[in-house]
Amino acid sequence: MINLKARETRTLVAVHGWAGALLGLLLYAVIVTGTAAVFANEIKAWSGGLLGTSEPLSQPLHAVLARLEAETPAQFREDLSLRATPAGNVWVFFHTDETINGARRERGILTTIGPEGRIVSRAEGFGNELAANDPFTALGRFYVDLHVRLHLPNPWGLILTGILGLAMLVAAVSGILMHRHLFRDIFILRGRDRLVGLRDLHSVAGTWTLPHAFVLAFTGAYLSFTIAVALPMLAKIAFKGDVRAMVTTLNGMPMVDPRPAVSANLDDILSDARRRADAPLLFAAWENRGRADARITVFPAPRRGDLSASRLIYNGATGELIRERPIVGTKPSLGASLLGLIGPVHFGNFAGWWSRAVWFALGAASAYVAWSGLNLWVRRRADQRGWRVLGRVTAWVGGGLPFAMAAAAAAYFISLPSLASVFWTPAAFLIAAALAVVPALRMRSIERVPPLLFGATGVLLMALPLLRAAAGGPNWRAALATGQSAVPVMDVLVALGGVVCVLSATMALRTREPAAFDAGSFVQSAE
Amino acid sequence: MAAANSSIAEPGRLHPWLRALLAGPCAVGLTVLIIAVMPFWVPKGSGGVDHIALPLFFMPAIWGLIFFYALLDRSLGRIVIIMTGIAVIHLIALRAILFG
Repeated sequence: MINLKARETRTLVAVHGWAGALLGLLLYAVIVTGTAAVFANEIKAWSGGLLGTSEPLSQPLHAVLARLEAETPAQFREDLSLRATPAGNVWVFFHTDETINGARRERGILTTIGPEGRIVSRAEGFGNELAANDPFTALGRFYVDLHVRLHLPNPWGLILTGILGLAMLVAAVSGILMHRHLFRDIFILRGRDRLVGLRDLHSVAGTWTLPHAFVLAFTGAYLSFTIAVALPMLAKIAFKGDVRAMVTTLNGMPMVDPRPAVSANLDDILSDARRRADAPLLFAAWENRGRADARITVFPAPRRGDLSASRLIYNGATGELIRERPIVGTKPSLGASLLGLIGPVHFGNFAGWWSRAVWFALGAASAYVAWSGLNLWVRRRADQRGWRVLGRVTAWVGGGLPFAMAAAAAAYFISLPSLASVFWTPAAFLIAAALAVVPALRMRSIERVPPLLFGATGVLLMALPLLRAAAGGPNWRAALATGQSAVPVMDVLVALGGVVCVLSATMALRTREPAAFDAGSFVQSAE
Repeated sequence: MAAANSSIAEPGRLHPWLRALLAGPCAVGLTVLIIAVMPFWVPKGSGGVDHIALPLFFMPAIWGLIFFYALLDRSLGRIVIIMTGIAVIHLIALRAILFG
């Protein structure tokens, strides 16, 4: 172990504690929502109710696209993007680029295509707004947005979550540096009812999840700050403000040839891409359609056993493969390999259900570490009024956030038949969060607030599969017949989560918490 | 005697704030400066993008190193000298890049 002197250890304990005290609640919110967002695609497939196919971009699309193009105004035919939705349908977006207040935005017609070319829905508008108003993915998007930017406007939400990532990095590194007996401490549990027991649980959970927390903090800070701050800054300095030059460097030099040309057969190109990638296709972008310089970029999922996948770039006029390229640049490089690692290790999607299950469990443990750390901080200062208020707020957020997230899911299913889920999902979250304030303010024993709210969360979670069925969601047999295993798996996981919440809440409410907080102090223990 | 004690205690009270200033806003500012200049000395690599990708990837690590250094080095004077030295070198480089 690193043997720091007492003075440095005291500094680290102070930084560890204050970082947690000032940002711990927001960090807890980001970790809890991130833990749910590990299953974001499964949540979208489970909650959407629109059964598609297991590989939607492998079905014949040429004929249906020709039909849709004929019905699309000429102004939107220049570019086309195709996206496989988590539920197995295809989003087809004929669009053009428009500059609004200096920002480039895509406007066009978004059509959802189900199996065998069936048109599920159709709408005109800006791409980001059409996606944001989709009622069938509102629940998954709500959790992801809460995790990514805490529903604050850009770039402030990303900057805040980036700061929280750095705070988590500080907490993880200082946590490991200030422990003299790290490997001995990670096996010590001296009961749950006293402050020292809570410290042990915090220490044990924190140490076991440390590598995961470090990786998530590092990659999370990167993901937030890169988009919000670093890339715009590098565009201004390294490329003298020329964003197009930066994109050209990162994505390769496009050829310009505006002569008219016939379009290649998209089905042939997607079939070739599927064969080369040896993995399902996720997204395809077709630029400059009808011109000699038309390009189709296909984004496949990573091949089994790989962490990232190459993009395949085709000539949109001749259908020939121009090249494969990594996540950035035109050739494989150290930078592309490192950036290609960020997504899989942050989202935990590198080994299917198994890796996501591990990421979910470690995320839940990290959430406990953030929350128990705050409780330790507050309990040691229970004689001071200001910290007692933070204790009530901690109890409210600690139990209230999962409760509000479960309430949002319940409201989503109730409002889905009327297609009002985009409004009711966040509204129910806020209403439930407001309701959770009542026990946090009124109950004399603050320790009983989180178990009470966890119990209510459990009841809501157990009701979700029933609400999903009542909202017209597909049954297990129909889902499995179309390769949508997310439906039965999520039903079981959510119900099991509900049972665990209710049982643990019942046990916690039966246990009497001793009033005295006179166990060994955190600082003394750390030293 | 009391006056003498008070004059001795004054720097002691300032030290935590100075360290917080160095580990907080100064560490952020220095990280931004280093990231801004890195594309001009990091090799472009085989894919021609390493000079952009590596500063982005290592940004949290660069900030973390500066933060913990400013937190743990006992000599505030040494922290000020080292951080100022790095900042001045990068400011000169940045000035040459932008206006040179």
